Order: sequence, then structure tokens, then C-alpha cells
Amino acid sequence: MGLPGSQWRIQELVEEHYPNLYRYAYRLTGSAADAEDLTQDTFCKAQSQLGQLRQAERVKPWLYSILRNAYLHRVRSRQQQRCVSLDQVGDLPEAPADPLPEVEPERLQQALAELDEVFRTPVILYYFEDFSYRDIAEQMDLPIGTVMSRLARAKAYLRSRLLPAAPALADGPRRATDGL
Amino acid sequence: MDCRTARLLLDFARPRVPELAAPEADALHRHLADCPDCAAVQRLERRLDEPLARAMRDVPLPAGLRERLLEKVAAPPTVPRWYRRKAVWSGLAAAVVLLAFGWYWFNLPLTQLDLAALHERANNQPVSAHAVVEQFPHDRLQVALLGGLAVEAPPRFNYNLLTYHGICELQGQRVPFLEFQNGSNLLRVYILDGKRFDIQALAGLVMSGRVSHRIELSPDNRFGWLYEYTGGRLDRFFDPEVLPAI
Ligand SMILES: [Zn+2]
Repeated sequence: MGLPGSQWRIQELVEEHYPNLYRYAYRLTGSAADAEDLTQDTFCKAQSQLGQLRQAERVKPWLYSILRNAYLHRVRSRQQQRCVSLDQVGDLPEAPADPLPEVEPERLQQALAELDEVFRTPVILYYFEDFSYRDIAEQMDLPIGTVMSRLARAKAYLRSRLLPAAPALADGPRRATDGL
Repeated sequence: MDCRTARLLLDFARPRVPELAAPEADALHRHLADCPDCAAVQRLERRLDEPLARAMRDVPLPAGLRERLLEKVAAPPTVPRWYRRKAVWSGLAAAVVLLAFGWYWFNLPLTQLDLAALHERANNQPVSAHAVVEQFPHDRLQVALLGGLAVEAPPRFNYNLLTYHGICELQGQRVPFLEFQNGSNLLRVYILDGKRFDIQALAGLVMSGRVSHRIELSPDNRFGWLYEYTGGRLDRFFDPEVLPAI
């Protein structure tokens, strides 16, 4: 008996997805050790559930949602949540500096840690730029309108913390909301 | 296209993950070419996003991570012998529990949907919809499993009007739903699994209001489609090529 199919495929999945899954885990947790553990857990779980994956093209969101579930499981068991209220996002000053300064990744991590997970996850996935709004909504099992309003608030928070010279955007008509 | 619509669609026109259908993307493109205000908003959004996106992805990978992960998935899980003996007994015990649970599950009472409460709540809330995400061929949805839940989509609707599909909570149960929009009118279809809801008790029920409700059973009676819609008419969401039978 050669290498079982699932074995062969899980190695392929590791090769293809480990860098971004690790980065996602790092941004969620802020710790290299936790990020590595989570990435490892994700692939182990994926290996045991590979048979449940129906559509090959859904493999990426599937892996990300396994990772997020593993993360939530840990957070709940540790009960470590310290978050800021996004109602207190400050107004941004007017004129933008030109060019905008680079954002230090460590300061970004601090700002992310201040956000509740329900804001942190969509904003990470958004800036990774690999996920559509629909993907993020599916990941989080939320209506797309909810994702968009959380994302708008999380983006505003990060901008006010990290791009202090950034202008407030003229906030045209704002997004659809959830709920009929 | 007006500025209001353009600002809404800007969110869905990211360069790396375009989510707009071609006609909308073209209309937005034309609007941005003619409207300096919206074009400025788009430029500013991108300028603000770029440094954050760069910083977000700037995570160094630990040395040897790839090898450690590959090693982990390559190693077959090691099971000590005592554990294997224990596993046989645990397996038997689990089978008994599963059988009992299966029997209970099979005989689980069906959820009685309180349509009157649903109707009242829907009529006392502001009505809104999701933005257009993607258009689906109907056959892709019909075979879909949404979030692990069985789905049979009603065939009569115009799936070009579909703006969203997802899972919501309906009286304590996770229920797949589809959302359609035609002009200012909205239709939400909740797909009730006959194994979980007492759909027979509700078949054919109609409640009218600012938001109306109506229940129809699938031809094989396995699913109930609960329609929740504004504007008092369901036929505006029908596919013109499918004969309406309701
Ligand atoms: Zn405009």
C-alpha cells in the first residue's frame, strides 16, 4: 500500500497554505508559539476531516475556518478578552500627510489585540486581500451587512490608531444592514 | 449610476478580490471616470488601506516551520497498546450511546414554528437588504449544502435577483435562507427541513402586512419554503420562464 490519498493531499495543503495560515494565526493571537500551535492543529484537524470537504475550490476558506474555530476554542477556555469599545473611536484629523507613513507591524499587532475577535477576524481577512466579503461572511456565519459594518468600524479604529494623519472619509451612504 | 450606489459598490471593487458582476463593474467604472468626488473617495480609501495591508501581511515565518508541519502530518498517530484495548471498549460503549441517541433523534419532536410571532416581529422592524454579492445559477444552489444543512431551493424564482444566501437563526434553529431583491422589494426564503420543522401544520398559510408571510411545501413534501416579502406580491420575484403556480 502506497501513501494514502489523504496523506498525499494533506502534504500538498501544507505546502500551499501554511505561510498564510500561520500569518493569520499570528495576527489573531499575537504570539509566534500560539500561531504555530494553531497552524499545526489546523492541519491535523484538516487531515482527519479531509473526507468531509465536498468542493476542492473551497479548501482555503475551509482551512481558515478550522483555524478560527480552534482559536475561538482556546480563547473561550482561557477566557482572556480585553477589548475596547468601538463606540469610542476618535475622529480623525483633517489633512492627510503625503506620503502616508508606513505602519509598524508590532504597533498593528497591539491595535489588533485591543479589538474584540468579532472585529479582529474580518479586518485581518480583509487586509489579507484574499477573501471576498461573501467569504468573510461565510467564515463567520454572519449576514454580509453585519460583516461590512463591523469591518467599517474596525478599519476606522485601526486608521485612527495607526495612521493619525489620515483624514476621515466623507462617509457617503453607508452600507446595507442585516435583518429584514 | 448615482453617487450613493457608487459609494456602496466601491467596497466590492477591490483590485485583488473583485466581487461585482461585469455590468455593475462597468457602470461603476464609468461613474468614477465622470465623478471626481467618488474617484477621490476611492483613491483615498486605497491609499489608507495600502500601508495597513502591507503591515498585516508582514509576519516573518519561523525557521523550520514548514518541516515541522510536514513532519506532524506525515507521522501516523501513535496509539499505545493499552489505549487500543481501552478503545475497543470505549468504541462499544459509544456505539450503544449512539444507538440510543439515534433513536431519540429519530423520534425527536418537530419544532412548531410560531408564524404569528414571526409575522408580528417582521412588521415592527425596519426593512433592509444585503448588497448584491454574486449571481448564482439556480442549479448550483439547489444541490448545495449550506453550512452542513440540507437545502432544496424553490424553483420558481428569478435567481438573477438573488442577493444573498446564508444561515440564520429562526426560533432556536439554524435555518438556510435565500434573499432576493427586486427594486425596493425584498423576499427572503427560509428553507425549513421537514425533519426538523412541522411543516405540514403550516402548509398554505398566508399572513399579509407590510411584510407578508406565506408557506409552500416542496413537491416531495421534504421541505417547507417560508416566504417573507415586502410589497404584498410574490410574483415579482418569479422567473418569467417558469409558470407561477402559487
Ligand atoms: Zn459620484
